[in-house]
Order: sequence, then structure tokens, then C-alpha cells
Amino acid sequence: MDTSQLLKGVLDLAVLAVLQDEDGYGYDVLRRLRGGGMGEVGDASVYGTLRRLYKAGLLTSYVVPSDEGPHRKYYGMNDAGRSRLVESEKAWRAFQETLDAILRKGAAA
Amino acid sequence: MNGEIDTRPGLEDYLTEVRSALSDLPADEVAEIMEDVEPNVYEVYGETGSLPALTARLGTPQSYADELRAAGDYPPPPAPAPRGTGRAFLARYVLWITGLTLVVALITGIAVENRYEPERFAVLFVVVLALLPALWLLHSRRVGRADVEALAEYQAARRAGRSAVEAVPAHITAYLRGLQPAWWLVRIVLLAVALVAALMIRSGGFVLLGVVVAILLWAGPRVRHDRRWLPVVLAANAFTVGVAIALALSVFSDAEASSNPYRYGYAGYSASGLTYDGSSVANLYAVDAQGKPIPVFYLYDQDGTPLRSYSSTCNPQGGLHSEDMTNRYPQPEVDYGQYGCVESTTMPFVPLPPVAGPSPTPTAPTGPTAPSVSTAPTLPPSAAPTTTPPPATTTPSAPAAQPPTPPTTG
Repeated sequence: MDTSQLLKGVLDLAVLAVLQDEDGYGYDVLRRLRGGGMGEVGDASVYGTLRRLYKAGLLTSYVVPSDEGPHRKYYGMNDAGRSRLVESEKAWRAFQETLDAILRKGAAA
Repeated sequence: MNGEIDTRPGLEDYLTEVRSALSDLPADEVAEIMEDVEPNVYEVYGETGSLPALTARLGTPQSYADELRAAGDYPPPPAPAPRGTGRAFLARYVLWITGLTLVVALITGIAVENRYEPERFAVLFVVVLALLPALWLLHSRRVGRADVEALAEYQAARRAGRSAVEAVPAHITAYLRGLQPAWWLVRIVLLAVALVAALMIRSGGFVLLGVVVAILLWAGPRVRHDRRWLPVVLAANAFTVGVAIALALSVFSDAEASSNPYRYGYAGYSASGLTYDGSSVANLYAVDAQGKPIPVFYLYDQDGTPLRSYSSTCNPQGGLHSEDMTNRYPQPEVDYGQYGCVESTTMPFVPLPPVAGPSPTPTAPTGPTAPSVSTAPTLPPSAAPTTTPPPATTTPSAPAAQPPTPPTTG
């Protein structure tokens, strides 16, 4: 199966995670995700996710003028984002354990 | 946007198409999205270096927009209703009228220096009128680039163009591509030259040339951001190519016609032959101290170089026969009239006899003091420079001791 389909579901969590410690503009986020091994995530998906999280009130954004090229819009975490990250992480770990168990059972059977 | 973008062809198109693929979303939201997307596209372009590589990574503008929509929980795009036969019909109109305009602009460009037949501009005028709706369709985005590119005839033309380019050796096309930034300047210079030429021959074409220069100055830089201006710029380019062909042809025919001094008397003809004070000397006559014409003499300069000029003679059949240059003077005046070709060496004017007073000629021992018939033909070249020419012609008050400025060979 195409890994990108799997990635899509967890992209919210991943984006929140890479913005946890340091604000970043869209391409920063993309680079951090790629650097973390999510090579197959599409650029447009990351930008769509950023917009969705922002609209949901989990991110703040501010614009920084740039010398070269257009100005950059930075995204940062607010409290709602942080608590969402904590929740999502818990949910992910629980889900991961469940899925692992199923996979192990399936393999054993 | 800023100036850096100018050097990245197609990038603005990509962004424009992403924007238009999202255009059903609220304008503020689209602006927010594009604030993210634009740096992304620029960065990716910077990394990949070309538009095809960018498209390979990001997908087409449409799929990029679709992916962004899906990830951002935006509503799906409205049904693409207008994309259908109606749209194809409009795209076809845009394509064909653009092609027609190119052809007519090219032909008009070739004819623009022609001073006759002002109605030749009428065809271009009509075609440009027909082009205006096409431009409107493009600008209102009723027809997009993709619509035109989807047409079978566009693809056929593109294939033909590709194979034509491939027929040219790769290093030549690469070299020409490298010159691309200079083309804009070349176009303007070329049109400026044509403009001056049109003014000189009083052709009405200078108005059109001025308009084309204005179009190129205005739309040329814009088309790099906005391909919707492409038909206008292409038409202006086709016109310029036509003008270039016309100028090249006229230079060629001028070179051929350079033996005809009446056509372009201000240039070319004086390049050979004799000149005096800057104007060309067609013939020379000499008189001796008594004012008698010297029937035959040969001219040399201070280095013994024969001073030749063109000479026309009649051929035995009575026709005009133009022959090589000679330094034998006076050259026959050829009259090609009702009796056929007639040569004449008589002086076309009567010189006043040189006044004895101001001409102390003893310094010219080799000068012809005897009746002139005995002198000329075998005058040795070395003797020529020391010969004091007799005072010339109809101005008796001229100081005779002062030799006229020697004719110069050009």
C-alpha cells in the first residue's frame, strides 16, 4: 500500500509536533517533516494541513518580511494547539499499540 | 511580486493556475493560501531549477490545488461545467485568430517600408479587431492556457515546431537560448531603425512601427508574469521578423543597385571614383595656357597612382557599354538618344582663357606650353606630380599659382 495514504491521517499530529519547539514557515515545516523521515508527504498536503489547523484555532500565524522572495508566513503553536498535540499523541500511541497487537496476531495466525 | 521572479519563466503561470483552481474559495482565504504556496513554489523552483522538475515534484497546478483542498478540508471545486465543447470552441477561436494575426503581422512587417498601397494595413487592422475578443476571453479566464493546449491543432503545431527545432544542432539552439535576454533589445533596435527608415521614405508605416514598439515595451515585460499577453507579443514579434526580412532585402537590393547613383546618391556611389570637396566628380577637362582644351590626358596622384573613374562608352552595335575605370580624360560623354549611343568628348562649357597675369608658369618646364595635341598620352607617371595644372575653368580671378586641390581616389 502507498505510504502516503497512511501519512495523511497522521499529518495533523506530525505538523503540530514539528512546530512544538520552534515556529516555522510552511517550507520549514515541510523540511522538518522530510528531515524526520516523512519523505513522501506532499507539499500541498502540508500547506493544506497548516491552513486547517490554523482555521481550527490550533496555530497562530504572523508574517515576516523577507529580503529575497516574497515574505514568509510563520506558524506557531498556541495553548489550544499544545493541548491538542498532547491529546493526539496519546490517541496515536493507543492506536499504534492496538494496531501493533492486531498485526502481531495476524502474523501469528 | 518582485523582480527576481522575472528570470523564472512559467513560474508565475504555475501560481496563477493554482490560484485560479482555488478561485471558488473566498478571496481572503485564497490570499492566505497563496502566502504559503508562493514561497513554497519559489523554494522548490530554486531547488529543482526548472519548471518541469518543479511539476514533477509538486504535481500540476490543478493536482496541487486539489491536494491542498483535500488536506485543508476545503470544499471540493464546483463541477467543471464550462469545460466542454463550448470552451473548446472558444479556445479554438483564440488559437486560430492568434495564428492568423501572426501571419498577417509578418506580411505587414515585410511590407511596412513600402511607401505605396497604404491599404495593406487594413488587413492587419481587421485581424487585430478580431483578436480583441480573444484577448478578452483570455483575460476574463473564460479560456485558459490549458484549454488552448488541449486542442489537437495546437499539439500538432507544437510537435511540428519541436521537430523543426530538433533539426537544428543542439549547440546552436543552446547558443540562441543564451542570447534570449538580448532579443528584447534587438527587437527594439530593429524597429527603431525601421522607424527612421520609414520616416525617411515618408511611409505611413511609421505609425504602425511606433505602435509595435509601444506594444513591445509595454507587454514584453508583462508577458513573463502573465501569459495572457502572449498573442499580442507574438504578433509584435512576427511583425518584427517581417521588418527584419524587409530590411535585409532592401540592404541586398541596395548593394545590387549601387551602380545607379540616382537611387541613393547620398551613400555608396562616391566610394569609388573621384571626389572634389566631398562631391563626386563625373568627368575632368583640362585646358592649356591658351585656354585650348587638351583633348586627351592621363591623371596620376603624387604616388603615381592612376586617378581612375568610371567611364561609359558606346559599344560597336550602338548600345551603351559601361566599362572599367580609366584614368584617361576627358571621358566621353555618352548620350543615348534617338540616334543610338553617341560619344562626345567636347567640353560641355567654354572656359575663359587663363589670364596671363597671375600665372607665372615658368616653374612648369614639363607643362604643356605648346599646342596641346603633342603632349598627353605618354606622359610618364613620375612627371605627373610636378606638373602645375593650368588654372581651371570659369573663375579667372582664382589665384592660378594655387593648384586646385588634387582629386582624391576614394
